[in-house]
Amino acid sequence: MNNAVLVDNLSKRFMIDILPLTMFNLVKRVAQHLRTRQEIWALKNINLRIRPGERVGIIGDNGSGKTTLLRIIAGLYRPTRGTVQVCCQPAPFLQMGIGMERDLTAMENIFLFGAIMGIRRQAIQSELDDIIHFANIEKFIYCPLRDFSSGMIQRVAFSIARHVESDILLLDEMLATGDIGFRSKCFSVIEEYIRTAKTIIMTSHETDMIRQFCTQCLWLENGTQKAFGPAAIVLDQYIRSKNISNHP
Amino acid sequence: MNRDRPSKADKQFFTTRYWSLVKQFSICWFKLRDQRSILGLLWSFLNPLAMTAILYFLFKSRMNMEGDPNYFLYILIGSVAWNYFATSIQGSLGVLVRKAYMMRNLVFPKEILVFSQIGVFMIQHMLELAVVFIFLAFHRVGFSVYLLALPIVILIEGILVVGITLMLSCLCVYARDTEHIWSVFARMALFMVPIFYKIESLSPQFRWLVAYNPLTQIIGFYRDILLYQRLPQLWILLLTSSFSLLCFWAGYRFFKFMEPRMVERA
Repeated sequence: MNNAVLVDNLSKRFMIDILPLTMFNLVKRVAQHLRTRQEIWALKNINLRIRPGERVGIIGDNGSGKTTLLRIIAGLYRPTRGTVQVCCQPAPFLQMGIGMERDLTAMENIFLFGAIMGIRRQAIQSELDDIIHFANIEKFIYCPLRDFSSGMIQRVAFSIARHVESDILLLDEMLATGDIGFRSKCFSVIEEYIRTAKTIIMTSHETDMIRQFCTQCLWLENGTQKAFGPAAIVLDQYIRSKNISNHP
Repeated sequence: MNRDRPSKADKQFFTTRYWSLVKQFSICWFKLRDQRSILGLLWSFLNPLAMTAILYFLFKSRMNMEGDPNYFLYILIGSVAWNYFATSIQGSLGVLVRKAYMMRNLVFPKEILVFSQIGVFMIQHMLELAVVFIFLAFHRVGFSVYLLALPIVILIEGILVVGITLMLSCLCVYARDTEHIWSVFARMALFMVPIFYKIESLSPQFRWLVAYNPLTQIIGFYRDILLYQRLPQLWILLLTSSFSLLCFWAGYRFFKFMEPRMVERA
């Protein structure tokens, strides 16, 4: 297949309950002729063709549909209209550390999160030193995770997640927390992905990072596709539009 | 790979990741359960004993069981078998709601959550059975070769539990009332299985209600093997296990049908 990801005329609708479905609200709804559900189009007519090895950055304001798009590509949500085709199962890193348990030790969590990410136990066993070293938690390995800072948890999660093998990687705001040292480690991992020609789709509010790593850029606004094309051009458009609206 | 159809990745998942994830979840959640209680693991032993003791002293004279030296064991085995059924369904119903954040962010067959949660109760059931063994030895009832059939009985009950939970956990995503309804039902069903009484002591009017209950049969199997040291009747065993499998099949089909719809709702 020629495409890593092919998104064809994709739309996604969410039905939001304004009033929770309870007996009380049911009576209220009948009595007052209220609508209990509202439809929200989170994505409207998105078209993407991403070839293997391309790196796509998704930019847009909060609530513009970035994460929803990643979830649909990952196969977690179903498209309301249109189709999404992928060449292999993407590895979604949507929220780092999801599934980790705060009351278990870091060591137990490494194996738990590894299983969640689909890494074999033997593989984790053999990479254990590397994971601990990369996350830089040698001193705290038998401490429960609840005593960790959110940045540290992020680090543990990422150092496991980078052992996941998939040709398509979905990264959602992965550098939101983390100190400078860890950021540079993350960057080196992304560069490693680039070297091995992985397809990467990442969302970020950091335009510099997208400029550095991405070949293509998708600009979403309120669920519509404002622009999709070479990263430098789309980013310039985006920044220009924001500057104008910031200084009228 | 089209998103609308079950993918090859799903099948691959089945062979490589599936059971290791179930195992990992079960063990971790089991560790977490008793984490902040002082008696911790001991509760797994104390709970069935407490229930048995209460029932024993309440019903010993009322049920005309004073002559039966094994009445305590009779209740203990019954309540351990019942507990496995009732508490694991009660405790696993809400797992999809509790772990909604996992459903929305991780790619894996979602029934793993249900299997793992029931796995936690399976571990607990083993501990409770250990209590039963201690008391069996204490009462000098001894053990027979039929003990080898016990895993089959546990499996039959487990499959039944999984089937029911798969179905109810989906409903729980849409209406949390499911948990309350089940707890009322379980309280009622407690009296529909012979835990502290014997079927023979019932009036013929009600006897059918208890006798044709698959759970009655399962509890009967436990007692046959552990207390009376005989093999359960084969045809009842086959009938009950086919009922369990039917429940599982229906539950699994229903769950798989609901799975893609649930992720957005949970």
